[in-house]
Amino acid sequence: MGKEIKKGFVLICLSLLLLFFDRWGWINWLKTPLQKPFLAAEQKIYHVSLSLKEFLNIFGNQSRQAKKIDQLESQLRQLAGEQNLLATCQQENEQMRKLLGAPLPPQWQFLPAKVVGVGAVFKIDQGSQADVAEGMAVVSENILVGRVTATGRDYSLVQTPQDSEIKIPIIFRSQQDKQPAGRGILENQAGSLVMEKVLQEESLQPGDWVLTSGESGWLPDLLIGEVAEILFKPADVYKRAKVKPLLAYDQLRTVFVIFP
Amino acid sequence: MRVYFIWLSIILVLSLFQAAFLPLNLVLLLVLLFSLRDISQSDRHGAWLTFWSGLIFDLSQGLTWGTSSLIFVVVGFLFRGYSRRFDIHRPFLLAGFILPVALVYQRLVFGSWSWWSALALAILAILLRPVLLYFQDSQGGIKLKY
Repeated sequence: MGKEIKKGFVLICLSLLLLFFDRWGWINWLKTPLQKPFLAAEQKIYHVSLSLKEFLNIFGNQSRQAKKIDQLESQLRQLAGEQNLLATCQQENEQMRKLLGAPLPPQWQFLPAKVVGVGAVFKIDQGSQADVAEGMAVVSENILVGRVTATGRDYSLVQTPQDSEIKIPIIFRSQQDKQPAGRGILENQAGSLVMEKVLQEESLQPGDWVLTSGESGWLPDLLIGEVAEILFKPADVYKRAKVKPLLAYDQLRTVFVIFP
Repeated sequence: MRVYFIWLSIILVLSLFQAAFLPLNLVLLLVLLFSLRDISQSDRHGAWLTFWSGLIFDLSQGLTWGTSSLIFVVVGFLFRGYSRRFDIHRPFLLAGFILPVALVYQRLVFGSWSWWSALALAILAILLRPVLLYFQDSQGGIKLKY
């Protein structure tokens, strides 16, 4: 028992030392080269898993429906981008628009990044070496994927709307109007995106676009999804709504980090 | 020594799978097994194996080095204490430890409460008991009762 406690104490001390050294970047010389083969392997495994999913989809019973849904979702994303373009009426960088089909400010720079993994965390293959920093937004087309929460030399961890702790200040507007119809907070509740804290007098309709409001460090006017179902009851103080994301976060291959 | 390399290889593969697409924390489950090996086989190196598993897991997940090692070592020792006090061969007592540990681990390391994955892990631990019995017994390891 005594030996066991002694051994445990030594290992705990060793772990704490490593934690301390890594926080201060004193063992990057060792960690960075070790991490490279891990990143390469994870990326390969992730892409194989995606291909396998697609393969199974094709031969699955619902392959036709799945294809049709993919096509429709792709069209929906395109429409969302075009709608947002009309609404914001901002000039764009032609090259970036071609790349992203997005109504994003021309001064923003975009760094393409490959998705490495979507297991416990969403990881991309660009890190501090490419000047990626905590808080930067990550998009696919013009749709929000998430925000960088931690960076290594060659990778970054991204918090997506699927994270149970996420709270994004949002605005919503109808697909026809340019002006926001109201504001709210987007949260993940038991795996579903739910819009909370929408004032009763604000007009909220199924099909409304949901975008970032630009508060709490999030960049403005990034599409997230569309209102799928209103959960409002007359006795409630605020309106609530289920939001359908425009992206399948676990099926992305390439994303863009925004340098505002 | 060969057994340790086999265990570490399994941990490596699981860590890579977890980083790439698997949402279940299977590494944690395996680490808890190591700690049981420590008791049942008077295994001197089981705790070290737990420590190295943490380092591999941190590397694969992009976490600060030492985070998972620290948690795995502490959890391993707690599990050993728990198994001395309670009969972990009973499914609900086994799940009763794994569920809160998986929840707290997810919260501490990834910053979110992931109830469903903790629950799935606890259920998996119960379901895997026959398999563990099979291959652990062949090496004179853990004896699981039914």
